[in-house]
Amino acid sequence: MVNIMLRFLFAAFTSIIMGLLFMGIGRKFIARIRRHYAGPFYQSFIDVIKLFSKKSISHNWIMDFGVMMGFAGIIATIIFMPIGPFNVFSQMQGNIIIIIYFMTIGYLGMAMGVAASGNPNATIGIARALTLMLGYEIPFVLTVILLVFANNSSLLQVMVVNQQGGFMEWNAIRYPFAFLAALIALQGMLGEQPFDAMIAPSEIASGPMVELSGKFLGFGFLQHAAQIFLETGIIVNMFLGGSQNFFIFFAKQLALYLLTVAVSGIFPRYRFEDAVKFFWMAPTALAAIQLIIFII
Amino acid sequence: MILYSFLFALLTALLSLFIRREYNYIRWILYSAVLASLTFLIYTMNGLWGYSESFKLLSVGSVDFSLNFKVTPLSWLFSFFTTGLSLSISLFSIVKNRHEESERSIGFFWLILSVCNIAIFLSADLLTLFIFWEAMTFVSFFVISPGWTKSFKAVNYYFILSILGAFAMLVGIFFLYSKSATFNIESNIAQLFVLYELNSPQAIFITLMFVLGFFTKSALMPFHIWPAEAHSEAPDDFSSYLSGIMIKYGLYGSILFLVPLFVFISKFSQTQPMSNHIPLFSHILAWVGAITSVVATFLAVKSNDMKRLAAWSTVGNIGYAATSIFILSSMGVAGGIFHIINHAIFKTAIFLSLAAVKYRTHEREMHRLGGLAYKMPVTFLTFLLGIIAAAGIPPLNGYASKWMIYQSLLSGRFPFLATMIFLSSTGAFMYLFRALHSVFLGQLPSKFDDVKEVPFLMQIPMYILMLLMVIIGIFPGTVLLPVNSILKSMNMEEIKVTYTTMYSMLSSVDAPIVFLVFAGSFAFAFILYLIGKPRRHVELLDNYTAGQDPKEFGLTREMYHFALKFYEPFEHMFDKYPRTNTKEFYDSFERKINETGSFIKKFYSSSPRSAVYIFTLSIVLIIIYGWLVW
Amino acid sequence: MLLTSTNEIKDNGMERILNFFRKKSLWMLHYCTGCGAVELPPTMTSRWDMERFGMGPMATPRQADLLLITGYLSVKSLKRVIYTYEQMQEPKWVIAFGSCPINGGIYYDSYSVINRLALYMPVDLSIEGCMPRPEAIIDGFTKLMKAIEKGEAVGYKKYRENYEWYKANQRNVLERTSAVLKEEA
Repeated sequence: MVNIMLRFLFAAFTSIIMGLLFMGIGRKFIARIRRHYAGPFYQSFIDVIKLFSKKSISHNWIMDFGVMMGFAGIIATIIFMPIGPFNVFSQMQGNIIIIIYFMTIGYLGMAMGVAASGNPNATIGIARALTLMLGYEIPFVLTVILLVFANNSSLLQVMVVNQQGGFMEWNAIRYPFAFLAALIALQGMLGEQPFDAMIAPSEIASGPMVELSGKFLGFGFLQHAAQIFLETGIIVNMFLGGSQNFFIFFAKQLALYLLTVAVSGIFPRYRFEDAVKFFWMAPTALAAIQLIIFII
Repeated sequence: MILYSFLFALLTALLSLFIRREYNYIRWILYSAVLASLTFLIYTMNGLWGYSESFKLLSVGSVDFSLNFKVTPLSWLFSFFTTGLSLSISLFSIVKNRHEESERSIGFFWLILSVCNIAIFLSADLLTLFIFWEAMTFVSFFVISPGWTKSFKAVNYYFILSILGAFAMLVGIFFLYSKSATFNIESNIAQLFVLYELNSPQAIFITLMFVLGFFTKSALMPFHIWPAEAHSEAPDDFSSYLSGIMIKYGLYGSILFLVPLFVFISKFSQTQPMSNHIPLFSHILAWVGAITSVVATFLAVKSNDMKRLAAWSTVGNIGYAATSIFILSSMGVAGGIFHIINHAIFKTAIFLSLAAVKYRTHEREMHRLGGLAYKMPVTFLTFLLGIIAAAGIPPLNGYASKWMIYQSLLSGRFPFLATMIFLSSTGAFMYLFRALHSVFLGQLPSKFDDVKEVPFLMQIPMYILMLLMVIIGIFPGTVLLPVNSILKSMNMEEIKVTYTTMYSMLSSVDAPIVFLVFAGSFAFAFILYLIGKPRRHVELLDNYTAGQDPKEFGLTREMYHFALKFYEPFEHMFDKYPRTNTKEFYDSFERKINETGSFIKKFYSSSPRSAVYIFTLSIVLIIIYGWLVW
Repeated sequence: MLLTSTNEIKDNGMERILNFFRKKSLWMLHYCTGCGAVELPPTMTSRWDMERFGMGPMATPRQADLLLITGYLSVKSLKRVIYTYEQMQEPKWVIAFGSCPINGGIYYDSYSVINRLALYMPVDLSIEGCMPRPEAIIDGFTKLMKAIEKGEAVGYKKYRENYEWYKANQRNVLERTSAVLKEEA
């Protein structure tokens, strides 16, 4: 029992710390694309500590509850994801369907929390985020189905094991179209440009975050950090062969994250219904083509 | 025993008609007591598989027509859960219906309906099934529309579709009876299978008749419009009965009759076309289920009426269950049955909480509501848990059955069906959140400042349902072990499951661990929350308004509630494409029937003489036809 | 008069440690009615790169630590500024930007513009100039950071302690905004 709890805490803290680190490095990276320097790579840690040290307001108990639930949902999902060689539970090594559904708790919690603040900007942001979710889930699920068929298992751990033996065994090389579709879906999942209409700062005052102050915004930050860790982690496990070494695993995640950041650095923003249309056209077609090739 | 309990219940229903309106609550307490005893009776029948009763109706020549009841694992599971749920609904109705005007007839018919409900599940042959099926349709007509104009229009869709479906089923039953000379279900299935080998078009026709009967009742495509009309216009507490329980009859019939048939065909048939190792017919039906769920999801996203939204959600969930059932693997059938049970529980919870909202506010349009969570926390929690289960989010019961459905679809290699189910599942999250926000979160309109939580007696069923959702979510085996005995009785391979763990070919899930992980993460988040500086509560209108003081600005809470046209840009995405409107189709159908009817009526009633001519002519024609055929 | 001085309410103990993080992550909300706002984009973007200090623009008062009053304030907009300031969460700071909030600048004799912001809100730092160049702005920010680290930038506490005094001042000046011709009810 104590062992499990320690492993739980290890996974939770790793995800938060690495996620915040990725965020900081991403900010540095995007600053270099735009030819300036930005803060130190540990800037995100400072931000989070500052946010937790501020006083804050909430409008009712649902807001408190929802924000906590949002963060808890993402952490709970990470518990089921293999982090390099590390698994919290030995028998449920990354059941991908559980992971996809568990992620929804995070979205629901956050959405509920900010909707309870009663600000229409927040709700507009949530409506956009949920609509966008309907877009990117389709290509992502198609790639998941492809990999489940290919490995005859829905466990991420099995997918990782089947990719061992070098670069050429990676699913990204075996199924390039699906990988591309998953990358585009990842861009949408992380809410990076061009799919960031839900947090448009000057149009709807940063959308869901509009009423979050102090530690509530801190939870939002932590949730985003953990989400970066989780979603890049899933793609690394699915397509880039996972790893038996923590550092290589983190390096792959970081590379993936920097790729999305680089894309976001040079793109403007899609209207979100156009984004949904785009997701249903290009990446879905890519994933479906790969699936059909595989079945044939 | 079964029959006596039915008679007892009917007698109570009759007696209750003499209770005066001032003592309405006594009537409902009586009903609850009857339902409780029925639930207990069914509970005691657990394990008495094969226990049967029959009651002779009439004999024609040497042939006896009788009502036959039999307890099988399938019928036990369905009747136990549905009766238990109707007990919880009737507990809710004790207070809810205290001052209702047209209540007397509702209660009376409702108890009859509960009897029909159990009888449908327990019936051992097709004739008994059909008799109670028809009785249920007629009786429910009067409950949905207790003399209200609006609900009368709505119920027409339901009633006419149900009647047509039931007659199609009757045609199928008599066709089969003419071949097999028995109403027994197993022998009829065997007979139909033989017919598939001998005369395949005829067999397909008979199966289609049954499919029509079952699909109209369960509102699958293209009969998907009636729930939105009927469920939303029915009395509020009865909506939960309609949506939680009555819509399942079609799927029950499919599991009872079609699934064994298709399993037979996929195992033994040499002549039937196959696809993905299941009969093509069954595969098409699975696609119908998936398309239904997607269409219902998009329509739910568009609706602004909360009961209508929940009704569309019901259709969507029925779609999942149908898809899962018709792919015929034991995982799929088990997942379908499990999802039907789960859906009965969480949809009852959702509709009861909506009924509670309407009881206090008398509003149904979502944009007129808002912020009720701050006033009605128990109702809010019920609805929240309901939508968590409905969206298939762990750790409640909905995810367990959805997980099984995905596992069956993936291990059966149906990638595009799985994608469609996933699409509608994500869409479900979308519209359910919209309902949560528009009704319970956001700004509280000032006219609802005095709204209170519903009385404690109405909260009891909500507590029960919440508890059920959590318990089944943590211990899926409580339902899945009985489901396993159903599979065994249907001669299908059992799935591997314990009280806590579900296994599939692809992976396994340990439900208590899932729950504990969520609880642990929440504790982790809570500790972080305590570490942060304390927060204070502020008013709802103390909000970001770009620096403008709401009081001076004339901003009211109603104006600051974003609920109308919630997903409007999403709806506009489909503007370019031509729209096929099923309701319009049915309406034009109705107009045509009306025209034909008035034409005939004109002809028929122009003079008494022509009526006599037509009557005589038809008699003569019938005699000639009978002569020729005999 | 003000009841408390800065020295009495300086940050101590744990707050001093947290101040280290606070000064390194100042998120600002700029109130951009005045002309000073035009100096902010160069300060934020690559040329002067404000993000080096962990500063960045934020969308709403709930999220921000630092309120920038960029230029003159008319009496009507003062009302909005005060509402916004009160929506911000502690600890919070105010920077007055350019000469107008210090003494009225070129609007010193206008009927509709306030002359001294410090009468109505606790200004932690004023950056003079008309307009201050980005170098001056960054210099001002670093000064504020030092003050925060020493625990001396406690304008928000001052506002809390002398709430009545500030409110009285605000009421006096805001009376001017009330409608002259009242509508018949």
